[in-house]
Amino acid sequence: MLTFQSKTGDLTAGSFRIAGIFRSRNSSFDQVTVFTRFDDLAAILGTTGGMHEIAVVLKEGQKTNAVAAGLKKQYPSLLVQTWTELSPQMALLSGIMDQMMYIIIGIILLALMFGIINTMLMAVLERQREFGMLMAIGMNKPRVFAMIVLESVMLTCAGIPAGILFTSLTVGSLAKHGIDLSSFSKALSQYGFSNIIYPVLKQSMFMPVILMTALTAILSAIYPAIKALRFKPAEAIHKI
Amino acid sequence: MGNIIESHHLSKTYNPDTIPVHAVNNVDLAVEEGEFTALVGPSGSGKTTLLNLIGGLDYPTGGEVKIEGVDITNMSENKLIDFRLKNIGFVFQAYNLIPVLTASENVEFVMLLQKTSKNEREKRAVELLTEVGLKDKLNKRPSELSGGQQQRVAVARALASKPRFILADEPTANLDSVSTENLLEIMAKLNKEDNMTFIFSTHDQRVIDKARRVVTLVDGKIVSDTKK
Repeated sequence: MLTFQSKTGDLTAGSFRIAGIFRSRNSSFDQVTVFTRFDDLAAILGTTGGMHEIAVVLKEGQKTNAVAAGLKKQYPSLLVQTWTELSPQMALLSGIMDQMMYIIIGIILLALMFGIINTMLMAVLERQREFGMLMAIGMNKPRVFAMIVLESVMLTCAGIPAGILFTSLTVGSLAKHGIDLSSFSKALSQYGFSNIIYPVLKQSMFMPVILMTALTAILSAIYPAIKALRFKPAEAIHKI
Repeated sequence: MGNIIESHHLSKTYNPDTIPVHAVNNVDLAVEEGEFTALVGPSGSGKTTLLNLIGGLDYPTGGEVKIEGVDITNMSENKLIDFRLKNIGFVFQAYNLIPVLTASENVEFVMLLQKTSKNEREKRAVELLTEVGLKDKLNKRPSELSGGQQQRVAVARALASKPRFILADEPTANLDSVSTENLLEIMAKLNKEDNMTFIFSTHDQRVIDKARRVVTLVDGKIVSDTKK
């Protein structure tokens, strides 16, 4: 037996035979959702020839507001709401997750920066004698500085294709098989999230990340380069 | 012949505020063009420090150094680097070649800094390496060369910039007797035939025997200056 509120506001009920039990990736959705034939439900609710709600699913989420505005204009008598208006809690959560992602990217770039500083600093300190010799025979400071920064950029240029390949392979595999978060299913289902996440890596995301990485590499090389410029040739030449 | 190098009351004191060490103490030295001079003395006598001061690798705490009349003691670091590139060749005890470059590329490198054209660089590198007896080692990296051969590459590199003089800090210290003999012959030949001025610090009696002038340092002071 399924009980509903009819179009006129009265309580009404209908008896249905279970034809099958479905299971989606969202347990909370499964617990509260029943599929019936449209005509059977329309007769019980008194909405013959009409419907009380239409959900529009967009392929590109960024167009939500524009589409909603268009629909409002086209159907002024209908209540048109975006998903953020319907579920502000979810919108807030989504916003927080976006911010978290920026923070995580920042942390990763910071870690990358320390990694490059460490590598370049070691390379510079290990090659003190070489830098001493270069400055002794006439390599000026701007050239020494440029050489270290360029080495850092080249190191990064070698790493970027390897990183892209590794990312494409791992994300490609996860996009196919999904990341199973069933151990957090309760928490995820409360917010209507699926237990299995299928990550997507758009090509448009590569360029900003590559540029950020290259910029990080250049910034990271500045400190080791300044360190090298402070070497005194007379002392550096005799370093072991 | 005129003096190519002159030092007047040249001093270098380390730790002046704590325990002063007078590495070079009030040294007056004049070197003429075409000299083959050895700086000798016990360890810690100030040979390397004096070479560093003459070569503009370090600043003195007193006195002055003039290279062909140009006072280098008050030059900025950047000007000094440029001055070294144009006027002074260096040969170091530990060769100090760039390990990833071939013998030819090591020699060319100085000319690259001088912005010499590629053709001229290559031609001169071959000439110089031939002159030091390494015509067949042009494309060998330092790791594929013996110590003596590496030092000869270093001499060729020092000559590459067409310097006014060459400073060599214990150039034979890491070499066996045969390599030392070869290197000395090459340096003496360059001195004699090209009138290249050499000043080197050394402990090695064979090198001292070859020198035409021997300057002896003790505790940073010149105690004898003998011309042969």
